[in-house]
This record gives sequence, structure tokens and C-alpha cells, in this order.
Amino acid sequence: MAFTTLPFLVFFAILFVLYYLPTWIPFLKGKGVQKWLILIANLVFYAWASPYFLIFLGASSLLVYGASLLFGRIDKKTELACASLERAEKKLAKEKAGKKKKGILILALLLVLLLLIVPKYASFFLENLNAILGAFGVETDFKVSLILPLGLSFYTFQNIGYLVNVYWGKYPPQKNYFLYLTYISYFPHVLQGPLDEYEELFPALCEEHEFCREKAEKGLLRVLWGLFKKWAVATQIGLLISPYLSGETEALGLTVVLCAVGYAVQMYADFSGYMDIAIGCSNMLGIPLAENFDAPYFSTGVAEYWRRWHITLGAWFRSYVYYPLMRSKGLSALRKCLKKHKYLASVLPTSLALALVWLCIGFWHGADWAYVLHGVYHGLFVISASVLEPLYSAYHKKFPKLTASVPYRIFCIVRTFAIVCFGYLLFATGDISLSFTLIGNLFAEGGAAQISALFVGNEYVFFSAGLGIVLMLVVDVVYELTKKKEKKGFKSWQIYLLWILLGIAILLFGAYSEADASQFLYFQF
Amino acid sequence: MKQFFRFLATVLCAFLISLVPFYGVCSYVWLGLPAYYREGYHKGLVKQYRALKRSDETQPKIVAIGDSSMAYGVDSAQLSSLTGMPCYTLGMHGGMGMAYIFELLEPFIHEGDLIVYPCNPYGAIYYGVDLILMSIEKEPDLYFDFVLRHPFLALSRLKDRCFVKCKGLAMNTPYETTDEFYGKDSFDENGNFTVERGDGYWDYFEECEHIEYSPKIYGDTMILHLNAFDSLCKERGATLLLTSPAMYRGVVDNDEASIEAFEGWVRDTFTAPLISDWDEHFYEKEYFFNYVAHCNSAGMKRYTDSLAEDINSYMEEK
Repeated sequence: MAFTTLPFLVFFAILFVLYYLPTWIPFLKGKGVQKWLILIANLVFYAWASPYFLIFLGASSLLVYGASLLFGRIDKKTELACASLERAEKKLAKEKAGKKKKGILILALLLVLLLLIVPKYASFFLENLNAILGAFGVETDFKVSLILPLGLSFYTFQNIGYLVNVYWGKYPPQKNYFLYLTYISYFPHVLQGPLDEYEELFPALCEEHEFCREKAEKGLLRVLWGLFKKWAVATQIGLLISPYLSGETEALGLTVVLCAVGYAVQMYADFSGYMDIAIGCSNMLGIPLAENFDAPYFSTGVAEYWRRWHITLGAWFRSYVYYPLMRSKGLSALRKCLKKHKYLASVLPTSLALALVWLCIGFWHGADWAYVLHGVYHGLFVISASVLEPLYSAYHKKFPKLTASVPYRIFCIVRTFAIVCFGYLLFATGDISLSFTLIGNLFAEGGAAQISALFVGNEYVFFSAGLGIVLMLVVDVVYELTKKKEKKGFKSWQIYLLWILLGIAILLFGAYSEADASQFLYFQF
Repeated sequence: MKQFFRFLATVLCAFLISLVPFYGVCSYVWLGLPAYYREGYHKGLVKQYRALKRSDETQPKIVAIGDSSMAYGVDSAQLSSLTGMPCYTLGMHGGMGMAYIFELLEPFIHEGDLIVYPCNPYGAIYYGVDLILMSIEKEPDLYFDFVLRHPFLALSRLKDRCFVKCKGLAMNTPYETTDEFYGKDSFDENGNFTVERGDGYWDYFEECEHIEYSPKIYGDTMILHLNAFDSLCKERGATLLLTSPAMYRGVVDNDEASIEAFEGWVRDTFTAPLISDWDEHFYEKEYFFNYVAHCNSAGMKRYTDSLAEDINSYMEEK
């Protein structure tokens, strides 16, 4: 059930009314009915596309739930045993328990990742196997066609995050499976994130929420803003550039540039629009979700861009891949080996860890070399920024006025945006050969004529998308300039006015039937 | 609780307030500003609708419905003189979708009426909103009927069409019809395509896609809707009759056996009777004009003659 469809509107309207009902009925008040309502809503929402998807969600969460319970049991047993043991024996018992837990963790992680890898990557691996064997003269045609359950990558990562944290002893395991399922399958984040941390989201899910008009009003405003971004910007731009990105029409010169910039804006409007709807809906239910965007196109470097784009994914990779890698025996040993070369001891392990992280991010996005290459491309910029850090610091120290000036900052923003846009040429097609064709056509002639031909008959699409982009830009600029200042909230009447204006803008500039506006770009990942 | 219901009421009010300026502006542009599509062939549909509106509902009539192949192929005056019943046509372009034609016709279906439908595989069941809107520009009754019945469909295209219209009017660029023959004045007051059409554009013809009649070219939606429409006709005491559209023989890839098999499938699948042999209306080039299913004047005469014959023999059999 996509957020931009009529079934979702009906679904959410019913849930919204039912959700606050228990708070007005004395014998239901304080009985925790709301969280069970959320669970039912989650399952209906998720099973809407296909009840078969529930099998994956159930299996993955059950596996993690079981493993986390085992961690809890082992910890408890060890604690009890240790009470009557001597210090040396205690250490031994803890080591033994630690090994047991590690074994369970590895097994559980492998199984959960298998549930992700088989439907998402099996076809990709077989295709490559066919190609490799073909290169050795062995003709094979291994094929498999599996349906990829919606949101699989997202809830797999949430499951892993929870499991690892319980393993680390950050919080105790959840004893009730259905409560755990409520967290994992929470409908605003199950399909596309944000990847909320268990300790932050779970208490809010279990709490009883009285209706708060202010939260509901702001939540709805956020939903409308998300719908505007999706319908008036993302879908309209998609109408213009999708024939080129799908290879249906060959893009030349300036059209390739238009595609790259257009896709960057479309992706941002689409993904952040989805997040606005998700966060807005959740806020209307009194449950806050993590923010996933922080005006990313105002970043002055690629590393900063990734701290502001899909924030929760970046945080996930930092917490569960990068830091564990940096603490791993291998990299610690490398650091020790290079002790004498201070710079190398700091840069080399970091670069190796970053390289692996970016390879994983590339793979996470999809089963095609185009996505892997996109990950590597961004990784190279991040690694080079880390390697050249002393040089940058020296440069900043030498020219403090210049590097603090607004034009320099604007230059850095434009440079980063250009890097990101070029990266999208690798990513947007989802097909490596098509991406190379696009890049190869970057300097081909005929782009201007192609764009003017595209303009004819699409004036309204250009007009709507252009207006939407300007509005988004204004909002983001205001946000960027005022985010560190204390903000006064909107008054109720201002919110109502904004509702109406956004409502009119959505009706006037949105695209509904021309393209499949109910599909969000990030569903595929 | 009060706060909650106040919130819901505010949301509802805001929603309605948003709708008013949107539909208000669009309706003003579509109905209040000077006509932009007045020269288009779309206006032929309005003429046909008005003729139907003038019809005597107590007297049984024949209404030929369909897409452009029907508009190019059926002469209602000729059909009327050959069958002895008042005849009307309703249908202008396949892009308008048959769903809209069924909807327009519905209030005019009365006891004893014969609805004839050259069941063209191109005549898919949907609403071609752009063409519909272009037809009903400056026609308040048809406009409000469509917008109120299909607010979401109207919502999806109305603003785009208004933008094009405003731009066209502001820049003084008149709407150009795609075909000099297929304009508003090509139709008489009953929406009959009376303009004299000679030989066709043969070069264009040879490039046309071929067609092979088989069950798969009619989707499930078509079968479902057509049978539902047949039930409606039966409820009203009217009869839906299916016939084959006129088609240039050179583009039909079927052999005799497969056409027979297809005809059998049509008879078995649709609840309405098929009154013609399917290959009866496969003609040579000289009967067509600018498309493989668009008759010229001679083709129209031949097709209408043949249709009248089929209707008469069906009536006699009955």
C-alpha cells in the first residue's frame, strides 16, 4: 500500500480514528490497546501488496527475536553462575558465554542475511556466474526469478541493528514477539525507512498517546508537503526524464545533463517526500520517527552529503559495519604494525574500512554493477577526503578568510552537487551498460534540439516541476539558514493556511495519472 | 475528544476550501474563457449528443456507437432511410474511450432501441480524458456531468488542458486539428460525417500496422464492460447488436479459417448477438480514406448499406 494511493488514505483515516478511541473509553484507557492496533495496522499495510511478503517479515523477525532471547538466557545463566565463582573462574565462564553468544550471533546474522540475499541477489549472482563460465567456454543458462518482498532490505537492517545491540548488551531482549514485530513492521518505516533505533522508537510505540492537536496539525502539514514533493516535483520530473533513463530514447549532450540534474532532484523529492509523509503520519499518531534528510544538496563535501542524505542508513553503516571493522583484530593489528608511521596508521585502516562500507552500500542499493559502481564512486571521494585531510586542514588554516567566505561555500556546494549528479548517471539506469552509454553521450551534439523538442507538449510538466523545485529550494534555503537558530512554531491559523495553499498547489501542479505516481523510487532498494 | 473532532472538521473544511479555487479556476477557464477547441472534430461528438437529446424517446431508434471507424463509416441519414427507423451516431475517436460513449448514451436507451456497435479492437474501454475535455469545452451540462461523475479523472488532466488553453489564447495560436477533413464543420447538425471524401493517402496506408483478429486483442475489461452494457440494454428493453468494423483487407493477417474461429469466439464470449460475418466489412483500398479503418464517402455508403442489410435481416429473423 503506497502512501499516495486512495487505499492508504482510507486505511490511515480509519486507523487515526480508532487509534485515539481507547483514550476516550474509560475501561480501555491505560490498557495498551493502541500498540496492538498499530500491530494489526502494520500487518494489513504490509500484506496489502501480497500476503506472501509476511512470510519473509515473520521469518526474519522471528529468527532475530529467538537469537536475542538466547542472548538474554545466556547472560542470565552466566550471571547466576558467576555469583558463586572465583574471579578466575568467572572470567572463564564469561569467556565461554561470550563465545556461545558470538556463535549464535554469527549464525543468526548469516540466516537473516540469507533471507535478504536469496531473493535480492540470486538472479544477479547467477547472471554473473553464467558470464564467468561463458568466458571459460562453458555455456550455461542458470536462471532464477524470485519476487523481492517490499522493504526487505530495510527491515533486515533494523533486525540486524537490534540483534547486535542486544548482543552488545546495550538493552535487554524484548520478551514479547508481537511487540518486537510491532517495532519491526511499523508501517510508516517498514517499506523505505527511516531505520529507527529500537531504543528510540519502541518506547514511543508502547506508550499510550492522548490526541495532541498541535502534533496532528503539524503532522498533517508534513504529510501535505511530502505529497507536494512527490506529485508536483518527483512525478513531473519523472515524466520528462524516464524515457531517457530507461533507454527508450537516446539522450545526447545537454539532455544527459538534464537527466542527471533532473534525477538528483527527482530522487530527493521522491525519497524525502516519502519520509515527510511517513514522519507526518507517525507524528499524527504521537510517535516521532528519526529524520532522514538534512538539506543534503547544501553539503560542501561528499562525506558531509552522506551525513545529510539518508541519515539513518549512514548511521546504520557507521554503527554496525564501520566501527566494528575499525575495532576488528585485523585492522587493530594493521594499526599496530604502522605505529611508527602515524599518518599511515590512521589513514590506511580507515580507508580499508571505508572501502568495504562503500562496497556494501553499493550492493545494498541493488543487484547490478551500476549500483556497486555508484557505491565505489562515492567511496572514492569519501576516502580521498579522509586521506587528504591534513592537506585540507593546512589549506583552511592558510586561507581562513577565503574558506569561510560565502562564495567559497557556494563553490563547494555546487562542486558537491555536480559530483552527486554525475554519480547518478551510474545509478539512475540500474543497468551498467546503459549508464556508460549515457556518460559516453555527455558531449554528443544534439542535446539542445532534443530539449526544445521535449519542451513542446510538455510545457505544463516543465512549468509545474519548475515551480515545485523553486518552492522546495526556498524551503530548504530557509531551513539551512535558520536551522541553528531557535524557531518559533507556526500558529494554528498559519498551519491551516498552509494546508489550504499546499492543497491547492498539489491539485494544480501534481501529476497523478500520467505516470505511476504511487510508486516511490526507493521501493526498489 | 472535542479537540479531535474539531481537528477532523478543520481538515475537512481545509480540503473543501482547497477544492473550490481549483475547480473554480479550471471551470472558469474551460467554460468562461473564449473557446479554444471550437474548430476541432471533438465538437462532432457534442452535435451527436445534442441530436440524441432531441430524439423522441417514445419512438424506437437505432444508435450506432463506436470510435472513428464508426464516425467515418456510418451515415445515419442513409441508415434511417434503409431501415425505416430514426438513426443516430455517437462516437468520434478511439482515444475518447468507449466508457465515455456508454456513459453518454445511457440516458437515451429506451425500449425498442437498437444499439449497433462495430466492435473494433482499438475501441478500448476507458476514459480518454484529454479528448473528452476538448469535446465538452464551453458545454456546461456535459462539463459538470463529467467533472461531478469523475472528479479524480478530471483532476488529473483538467489543469494541464487549462494551461494549454490559456497559453494558446494568450499567444493567439489557434488550435490546429490534425486533419483538414476532420473538423467541426465536417459534421452536419446530427453529427454525421458528411464532408465529401475522395481517394485516400495511400502511401501512409502501406505503412500501417497489420491486424490479426484473435481473442487476445480484446482484453478481459472489454468483455466485462460490453457484457455489462448489454445487460443494461436488456434491462431497458433495448438490444445491443455487435458488428464488425470496416477494415482495409490488405492489413488483415487472418486466413478464412481463423476468421471463422474468431467469429465463433465473439459469438460465444459476448452476450450481445453478432449480426454480420466478420469478414463482410473487409474492403479494398478504394473504399478508405486516411486510415485502414476510416472509410471515404464511397466506403461509408457501402458500409452503411451492408449494416442496414444486417440490421434488417436480424429484425426479420427476430
